[in-house]
Amino acid sequence: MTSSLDQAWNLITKTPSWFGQADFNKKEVDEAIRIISINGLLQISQEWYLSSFRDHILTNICPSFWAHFKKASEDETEPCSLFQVFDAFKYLHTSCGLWLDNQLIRGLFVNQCDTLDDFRKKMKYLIKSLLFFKIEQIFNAYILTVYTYGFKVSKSLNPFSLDENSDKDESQEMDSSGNLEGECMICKEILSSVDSSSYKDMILSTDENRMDDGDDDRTCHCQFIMKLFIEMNDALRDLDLLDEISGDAVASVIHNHIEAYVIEKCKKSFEESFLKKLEVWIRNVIFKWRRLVFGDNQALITKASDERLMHFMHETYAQMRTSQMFDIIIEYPDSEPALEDLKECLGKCHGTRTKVINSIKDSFEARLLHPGVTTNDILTAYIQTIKALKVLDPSGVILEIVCDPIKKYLKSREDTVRCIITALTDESSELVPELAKDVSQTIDDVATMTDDELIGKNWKSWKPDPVDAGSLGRSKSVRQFDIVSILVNVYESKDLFVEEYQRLLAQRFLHNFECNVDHERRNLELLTLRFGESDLHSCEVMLQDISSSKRIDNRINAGEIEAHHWTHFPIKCLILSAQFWPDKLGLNPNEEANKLKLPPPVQESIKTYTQAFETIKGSRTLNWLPPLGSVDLELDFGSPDKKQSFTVSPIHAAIIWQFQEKESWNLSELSQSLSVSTALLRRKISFWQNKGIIRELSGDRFVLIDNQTQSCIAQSEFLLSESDDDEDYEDESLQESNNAGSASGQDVGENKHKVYWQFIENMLTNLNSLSLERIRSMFNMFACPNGSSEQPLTIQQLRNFLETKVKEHKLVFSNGQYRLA
Amino acid sequence: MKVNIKSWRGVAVWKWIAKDDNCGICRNAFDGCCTDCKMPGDECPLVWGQCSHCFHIHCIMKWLNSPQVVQLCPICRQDWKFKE
Repeated sequence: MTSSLDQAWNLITKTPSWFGQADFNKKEVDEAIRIISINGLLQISQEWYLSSFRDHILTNICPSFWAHFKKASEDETEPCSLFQVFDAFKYLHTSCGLWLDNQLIRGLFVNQCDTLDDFRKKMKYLIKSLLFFKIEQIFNAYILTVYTYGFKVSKSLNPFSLDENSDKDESQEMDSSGNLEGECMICKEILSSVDSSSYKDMILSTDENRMDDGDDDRTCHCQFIMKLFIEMNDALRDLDLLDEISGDAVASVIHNHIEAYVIEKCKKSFEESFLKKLEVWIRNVIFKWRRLVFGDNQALITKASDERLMHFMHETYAQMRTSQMFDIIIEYPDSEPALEDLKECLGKCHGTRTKVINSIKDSFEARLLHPGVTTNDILTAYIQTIKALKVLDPSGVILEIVCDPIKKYLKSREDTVRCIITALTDESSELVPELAKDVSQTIDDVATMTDDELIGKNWKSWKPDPVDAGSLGRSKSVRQFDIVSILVNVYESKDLFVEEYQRLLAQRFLHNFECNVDHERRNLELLTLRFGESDLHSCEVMLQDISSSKRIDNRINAGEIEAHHWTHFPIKCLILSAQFWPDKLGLNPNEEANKLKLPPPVQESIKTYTQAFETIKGSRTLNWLPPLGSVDLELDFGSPDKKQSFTVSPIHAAIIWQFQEKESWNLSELSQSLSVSTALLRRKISFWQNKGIIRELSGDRFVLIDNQTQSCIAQSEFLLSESDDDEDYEDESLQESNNAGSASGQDVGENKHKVYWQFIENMLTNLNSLSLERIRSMFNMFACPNGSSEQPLTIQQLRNFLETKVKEHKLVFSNGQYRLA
Repeated sequence: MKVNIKSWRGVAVWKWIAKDDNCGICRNAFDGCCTDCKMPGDECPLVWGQCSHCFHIHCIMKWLNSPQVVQLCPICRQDWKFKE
């Protein structure tokens, strides 16, 4: 009995070394197990089996397994061979497989299936903990490479089944990269790293088989590699190692691929919605491949679960779009699909909101809010932003946060109001339809209403503010997307806009008598809806003036009234209600040109016109504003081909009228007879000089260039002054030579200028920005006090000096003010 | 050389021919309008009394229609009579 037990024990303990050997005596083993079981030693035998398995792993499997990776690990830069990895896992699987399932183990656990499963689990834990208690970085890199290639190969093998939404482009792409000239680039790349001759032989043999099968003669081994790849995954799954070994690698391969795909597909176009397509793509391509690796066991898929991958895709997409926000805004409404996509991502990915906000803010700073951009462009971008962000974030919070810098910047520009008003009233402008949009409340109403009032009837659709709204301090209901209100609110007061509108209207009417009153009236009505009637009252009167003066004009010119009958030329008049028109605009009574003496026939006509007006409107009279208006006139030089027609301002007409009487005028004489200052006269007379009608001789004497004088004066001289361009050119070249002169003078005092610069720099540091005149006066007061040896700087010298500093980017010149850059 | 003027478009402002600038009642400019009116000129004309004082017609009518006062000129306290 004892001897048989001894024999049985000896047999069993020897058995493991026979695993896989043909002369393995099944009957003997069964008998031995039976004897051991009878003696109650089954438990002990099981424990012995486990411990000898551990020894086996440590002494045999472990060194052989890691030996597969040794060679390449000496040179880490060398790309590892896929086949080494395949080999290693194949070895692991077979050698452990022998232990995991054999007659002995089955015998030890006969009739105890559950215990056997638990026992196998223990063994697998042993493998995991003994073999992979520490995974080398290099090993992870190997695994990553394997899965990267695995993905590529499976993609190249069945591009269509994998990629269902692939279009023609993609199949062409496959052709070009994958199967160039009948050769698969991917497996070629893989095989180039193969050094194990056994695999080469295997590959060659499969090749031969395929040749024999009469398959196409492409030398593609993808199929073969794929088979090994799947085998490896199966082996790992069998050993419960898949998640530990491959989980990270698979996840990162998939992530990389999603990232690359999203960027490749979606980066260029904003005009298409991609999210749905991407989701389909993920389902078709990524999920399928993942199943290929993990099998159908969903429990294994933890690091690359459906939700995680979808989320990752959304995040990647959002990140890409966030970096493109500025272009998306500028391209709105073409980019609307992109915005809708991003909106969906905002709802799904935490933290994207802040990133979007920061991205927009940064790109505004970099691309919009600097002196190189015109106010009109900024406004256009602003309007685009409002429209685009309305799509992205209906709550308006992002808009408000993002537009704060724009508002502040626009406030600092002088021409903002003017640009907005011009844009609002320009017929071709995109803002006109915005203005025409129905608004139930004027700007004032909205500002004074409480939240409750605003929410009012729509309380059912009320939604709480997003979290980042808190910082704004204002309630959501006040936020709105009405572009006109937003623009007007840049200044937080509508008065400026009303004033500017009035001024603009006045200028339009005064410069263009045939202005389209109906159009302006419609504009005014729209503006009245927003600004309220009281503020725009004077504009209404202005429009009324235009219409009524046309009526009166028609009556008077029709000869209805005795007093005025036009003889030589018709006289038309714009009759204004002075109280309701803006000041200035040349209406200033102190303006010297108001005393301008018009040509006698005009004065005569004006007189009778006024009388006619007095007849129509009892107790009222007209005060004419001589410098305003326009005149059509013709200069007749005697022969029919020498007639020239002009449309000029009254002062120009008055000047040329004087030259009828006398062909040569002294500036002061002319100034006296027209009651206009010499400075203004000189400025105005240059118009005729540019036209080649009048020429300045030395000493403020102007002569008319007409037929007789032409013949006296050299022809060339006349031609020279006839052309406007020549005149301008001359002026410029003159100025340039002046500048050059003073510049060379500067060189002499180079050292002196260093001192100047120091002084100016300090001055601007303390006082921020200063005009040229202020700088000069301060400069001369402190730097060159009276009595010192220094010559005070002239304006021109200082300007040149500051110009050079501007060119050196040390100063910034804007709105007539210098400040430090 | 001869200058032929084809047409002349000028600009003028209209004024009431009155001694004062402002209405004694509403203190607005004559060339403007009374407090109740929107459009100056035809819609808000001036009237003169026999005392030679003048007001926006709406202003003086309101004054004359108020029950407390007898029909006096608000400035010189003479009997108000419209100038023919």
